[in-house]
Amino acid sequence: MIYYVGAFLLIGIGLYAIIIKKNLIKILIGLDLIASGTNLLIVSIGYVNGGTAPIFSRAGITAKMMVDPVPQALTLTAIVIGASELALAAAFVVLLYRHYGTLDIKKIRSLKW
Amino acid sequence: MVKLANPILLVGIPLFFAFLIAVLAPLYKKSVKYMPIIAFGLNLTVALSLIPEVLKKGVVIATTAGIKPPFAINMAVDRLGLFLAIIASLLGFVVSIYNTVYIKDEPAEKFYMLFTLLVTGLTWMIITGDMFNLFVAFEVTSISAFGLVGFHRDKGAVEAGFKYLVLGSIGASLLLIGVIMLYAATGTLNMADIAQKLLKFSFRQKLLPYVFIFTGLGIEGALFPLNAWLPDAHPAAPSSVSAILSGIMTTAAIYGIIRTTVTVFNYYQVVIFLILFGLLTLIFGETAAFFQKDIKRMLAYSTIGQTGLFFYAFSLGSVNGMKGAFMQMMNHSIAKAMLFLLVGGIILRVGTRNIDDFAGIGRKMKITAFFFAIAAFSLMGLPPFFGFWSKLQIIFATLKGVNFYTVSFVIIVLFMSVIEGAYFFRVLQVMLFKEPKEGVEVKEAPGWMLTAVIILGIILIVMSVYPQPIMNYAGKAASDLVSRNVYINAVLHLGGL
Repeated sequence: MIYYVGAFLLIGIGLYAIIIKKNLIKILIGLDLIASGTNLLIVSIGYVNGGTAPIFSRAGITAKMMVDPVPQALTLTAIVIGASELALAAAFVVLLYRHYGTLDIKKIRSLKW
Repeated sequence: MVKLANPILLVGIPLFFAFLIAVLAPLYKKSVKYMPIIAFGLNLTVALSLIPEVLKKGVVIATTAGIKPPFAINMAVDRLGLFLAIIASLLGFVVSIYNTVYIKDEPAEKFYMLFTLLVTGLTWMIITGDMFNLFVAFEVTSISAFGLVGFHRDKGAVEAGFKYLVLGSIGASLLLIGVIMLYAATGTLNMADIAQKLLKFSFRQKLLPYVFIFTGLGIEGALFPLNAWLPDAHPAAPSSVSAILSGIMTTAAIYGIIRTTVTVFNYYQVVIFLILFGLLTLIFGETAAFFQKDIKRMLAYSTIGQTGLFFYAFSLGSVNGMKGAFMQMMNHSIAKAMLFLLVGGIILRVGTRNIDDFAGIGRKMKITAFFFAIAAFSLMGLPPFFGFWSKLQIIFATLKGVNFYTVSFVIIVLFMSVIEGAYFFRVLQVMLFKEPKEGVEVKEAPGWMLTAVIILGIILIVMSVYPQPIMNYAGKAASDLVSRNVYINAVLHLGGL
């Protein structure tokens, strides 16, 4: 249960950072928090208390004691996607800084935000 | 011998070519620009060769790793999916031809790679039969779209790209949360399997994952009020990318919503809210388009309006409404892609995006003006163009039962069509009948760019003259979609291996 609460708290903090903060780097951190929260949610859904890795060759371990491996595979994919998205976002921030000389979102307004 | 009519090739071929471009670019810098043409030409062949099998069986399924569904990832192409897959590969093919002369900025090879990935991701979103795979395809599409929107790297493009990236990645996370909630509830990721297991759940239990998935896809599908990124991103991107973003990307995202709402969730109770979303998007898009001075911004808002229109038609929930929605999707994809491609040529020659500066260029750029008029007429629904038939279908579907609501819906749709006509006629009037400014020398757009538009134009004209086959096909696709068992049974009871 605590994991679910934690995951949604992380997502909430991330959304808060994106909406309220005016600094581009803080917005990036917010994006990363949302991704991390989602990943935590995925892993905790497949988690079994006291469970072990789903390897069938070990003796004396039944399927009930194993954690669900599918969410872990999904999380790996989601982490990779999140990392590349964040890298692209960082590249955009660098370009924005070169154009405007600032990271303050209120001063970056050639378009209508 | 690999069978040609295999849905997996629709993703595999362009993905292979996309990374081949990255490998070959240092050696053959000049020739990589022809790679997307080959990739999407092959893709179009595969999509067209799927037609007989889909017409016969209804659904064509490709398994991966040799394991039958519901395990492993599967690709399922039903009538609706094939319909959109053909449009996606057609637009990919045509726009690649256009790109060979249009793209002059460096690094061109990266543009071609991202462009190939963008169209691949869209086709992938359309044909996948797995919820998590939908998320992956969604991310492939969005990440390449972010890069392409910021391709020019000037102030506006970077800002639009960043704005799009922030909204798009929030949308992707919401979609992922929704998908994982479905997994927690049903223990499977296969769409057909989820659909069967969700039958046990009540309306309220299904609501939370649905809202997450709807919001996530709705950001990409530009539904009001989630569409703040679109009017900036479409004008900032190169025109050929805007054609893909407008023509097929919003359509693919709406397709995702349709697939989850009807096939996976079987959710007819939410239809009232969806009608509201559709109409608000329609009103917002068309009225905002009316006040624009920048032609690409105008077309971008018009895309929002069109998306609202076919989303509204889908959310009527009846077979007839969905038939109208699919016809309108096809009309919008081809006509709007044509308009963006033509506008790219005009901007290249005139050097500005301001509509007032287009005075009299229609007399110099005769072919451009001619096809601009055809596409605009079809988009606003003048007879005898295809847009007329699709809007007629939507209005008939709305007027199934005549009461206060349906009549007011029809009035809104008609009134918005009038507004749409008003701003397109204004552009045409400036282009054709205003006196050209002194000293402005324009000539016709480059030949290959016009070739691309002419291919689409001929298809649009043929569609307008013979609308019957497409109407019948759209009707069949709609009835297949509504009787969900066609899809579910085909996936879950796959004979042989």
